[in-house]
Amino acid sequence: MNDLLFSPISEIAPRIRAKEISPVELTRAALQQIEATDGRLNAFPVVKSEEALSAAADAEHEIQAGRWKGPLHGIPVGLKDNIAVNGWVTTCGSRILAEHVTDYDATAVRRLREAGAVILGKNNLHEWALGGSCTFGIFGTVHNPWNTEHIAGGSSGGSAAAVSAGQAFMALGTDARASIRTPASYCGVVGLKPTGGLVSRFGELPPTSSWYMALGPIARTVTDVAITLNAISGYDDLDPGSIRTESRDYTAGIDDGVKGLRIGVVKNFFYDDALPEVRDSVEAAASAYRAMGASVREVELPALRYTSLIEPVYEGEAKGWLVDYALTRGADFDSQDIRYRALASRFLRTADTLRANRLLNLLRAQVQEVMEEIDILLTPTNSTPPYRIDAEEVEVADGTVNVAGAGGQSRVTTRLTVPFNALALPAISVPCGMSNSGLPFGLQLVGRSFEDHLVLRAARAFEREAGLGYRRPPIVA
Amino acid sequence: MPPQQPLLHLTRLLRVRLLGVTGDYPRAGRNDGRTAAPHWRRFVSVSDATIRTLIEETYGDHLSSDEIETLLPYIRRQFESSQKLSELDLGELDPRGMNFISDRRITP
Repeated sequence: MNDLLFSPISEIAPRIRAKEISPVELTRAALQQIEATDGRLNAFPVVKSEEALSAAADAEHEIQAGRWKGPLHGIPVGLKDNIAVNGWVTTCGSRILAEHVTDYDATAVRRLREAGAVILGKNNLHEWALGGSCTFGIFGTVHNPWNTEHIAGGSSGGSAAAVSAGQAFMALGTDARASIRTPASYCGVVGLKPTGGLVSRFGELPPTSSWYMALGPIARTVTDVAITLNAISGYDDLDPGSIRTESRDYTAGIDDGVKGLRIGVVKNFFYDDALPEVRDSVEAAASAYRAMGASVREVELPALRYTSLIEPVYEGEAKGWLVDYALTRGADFDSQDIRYRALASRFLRTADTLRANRLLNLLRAQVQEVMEEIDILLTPTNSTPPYRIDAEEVEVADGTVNVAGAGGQSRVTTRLTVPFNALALPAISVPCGMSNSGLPFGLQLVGRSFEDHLVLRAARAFEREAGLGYRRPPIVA
Repeated sequence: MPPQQPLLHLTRLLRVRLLGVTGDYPRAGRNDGRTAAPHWRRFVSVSDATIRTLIEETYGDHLSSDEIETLLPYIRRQFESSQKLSELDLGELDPRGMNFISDRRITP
């Protein structure tokens, strides 16, 4: 049974449907895997064994009765602990919400339940989902399954570590700067930030109405990400940012390859900090796409140099809702940096937001112009592999970054992903390379709005033909 | 003391003149819009003492003096970003020149 925990959903599901695999046994195995590994990872701090086994038993009865609901039916999954489940505590990684019981299901949770998925519990995250390291928060640090002395990335670090270690087949994360893609990159799995508006964010804490925040799946294969997207995507009138689009099967055509696809490699900005081993892997990926029949060329997006100045567009909303807690519950912030960033957000100036919006529009215009002739942008997901949990400085291409100081951790973990939050474009991270020290890092592929299917197809081709694909990390090898 | 609107405090502290109040903004039809930027739109350097006062006025006694000193560099960094933003030619705020979607002026 243990080996089954590392099989893709796409292979397990037909066997569940054929009644060769019992959802109850599969769930029991996943729970045992959490028990066996989480003492070293801290990825699954909240496990709901009884509820999971009950849901698995229901799934088994339904399937036995011939009522198979689809490929997620009977599949054990995890949820980042900023996603609401009816009757469960949702902490958002903060002591302040330690007793916050939500009395509703997030829309994505409701849709997972309707698809028959078995929810195992809640995954660890960075405090308030506002950091890329998962070294702060109510549940403590998440450890990387590839080397437990290194960060798992964040803020959905628990979700990525759990999937990597075979604790769950898929886990939902959220992504306002990097929070799905960076931990997926660091843990050697696949993470998709869908187009803004494609997946409902109702029931996600913190509640944001802005376009930059997205909810999406982390899984071990691109197809499993597509299977999950099928279940959770679609218009939801409970999310004011939800957009009505044509319903689509994201697994259809996913194996069609990239022949004729136009891929643009963006080096400016993305290569500034990237270590040689990361750059070399991305170059090799570009060559692989060329060999697979894609048209590959280098493109430039000069306005990316102003990425950090665009921050005022969303910084106020990202932090402003925390000001009251920052004033009245300051000692309950594990990360005082988050607290002070929240307090500082009150001093953002409207004039700066206006100017930053103009910069964002310039970047948007450049990307739109480039993407008239390019279908997919190709970049590294991060400039470096995951750094040591106790690191104060991290080596980048031309020096070091102080990750213990303000802004350093963000520069290392979110710099290459945040532009596509600002633009609300679909972006995926797939395993691309291994560092000299044996740690994974990802390749980022970005598409036009609502062309998530093309992003998935390009990622799947790389995974199948040239990429590393999923590999078991040492903790479970 | 309840938190107050920091921008209002900043404008009071710096005696910043607001659009429409002082009438120093070039009006449509009276010039070509190329008049030097009015005082209120230029970036004004803010001293640490001013930021400290701004924090005190905004957050009152919710923060200790140590906490104010810790917060100060965060806000200073925001003002430094403001300065960088103000140094970029991002076009006028005059609606006659606000076709910024297609404005490529900062693109090399």
